[in-house]
Amino acid sequence: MTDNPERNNAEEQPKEDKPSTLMEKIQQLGQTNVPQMTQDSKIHCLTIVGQIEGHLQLPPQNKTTKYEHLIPQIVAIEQNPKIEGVLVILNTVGGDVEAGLAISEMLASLSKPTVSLVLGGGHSIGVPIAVSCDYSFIAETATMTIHPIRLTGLVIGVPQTFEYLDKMQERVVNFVTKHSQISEEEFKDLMFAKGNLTRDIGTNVIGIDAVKSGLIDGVGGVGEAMTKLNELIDLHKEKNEGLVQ
Amino acid sequence: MIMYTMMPEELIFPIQQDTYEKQQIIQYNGIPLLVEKNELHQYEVIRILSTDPNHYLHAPIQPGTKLNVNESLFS
Repeated sequence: MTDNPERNNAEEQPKEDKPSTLMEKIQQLGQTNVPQMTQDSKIHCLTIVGQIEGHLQLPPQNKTTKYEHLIPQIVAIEQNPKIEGVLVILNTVGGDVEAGLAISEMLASLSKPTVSLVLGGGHSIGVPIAVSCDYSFIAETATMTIHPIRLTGLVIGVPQTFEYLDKMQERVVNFVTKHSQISEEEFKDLMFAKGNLTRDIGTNVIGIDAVKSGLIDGVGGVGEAMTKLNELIDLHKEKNEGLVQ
Repeated sequence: MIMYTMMPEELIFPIQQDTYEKQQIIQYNGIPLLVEKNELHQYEVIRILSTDPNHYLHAPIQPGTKLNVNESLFS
């Protein structure tokens, strides 16, 4: 565009006083227009991306999901009568165990129907978040890494540290086995498997394998997840109506 | 130089405080947004922190747009 300044100027001259919104949009968004939805959505969408940030704030170049953002949102979803269901979209590498478990517990205790969808990856502490929903989906190409929990940073080298870590892991295992079809034995087998990950123990389950092991309920994408969520919302409504009578 | 360590990177190379201060969360017409201040004192939208899918379709707050907001909006 710069090698033809004359033509360029001529084109842009009339728009100078009022900057071209179209050009601006392309520059800023990489697209010209945003699609519009007609009515208020009764389904809200919670996206869990990047790292799950714990008590330590990560530098801004990291893409993180902060639990202090998600928890009030989940509370708002629970309280708002207009919201009938939640779709949780996961593409996370994992992160803080306590923050991840906090989000999982919030989702599991939500009275409204919830459906989770793992796209790309739902690793590490993403596993309990994925299974915490009423129904879980995984994309065919998505993966989930199941591995033992570990600490980073400075650790006090005493036996109690190991015991604490062991208990923390037990909490994750209990949560996952309680909220999915997988047995404790099988989950621990996957967690401590050798030879699957480079220089690490654990397993990387891909799409259909996660379903076969009972961890996830089905393989699918956003279409399947929405259909299931609408189904669950209808069931939930029927149940509530029954209670009134 | 290659450094082999089990310590987290942030511990060895501390992040400067002002990098944290560049990004802020504001409420724009009730929609929580993560914004970053640029040199022209404009705020560029980085991320929308809402669960309502409709908020993501609002053209004026699409990630990448620059907002001219006054400081009173900051919570």
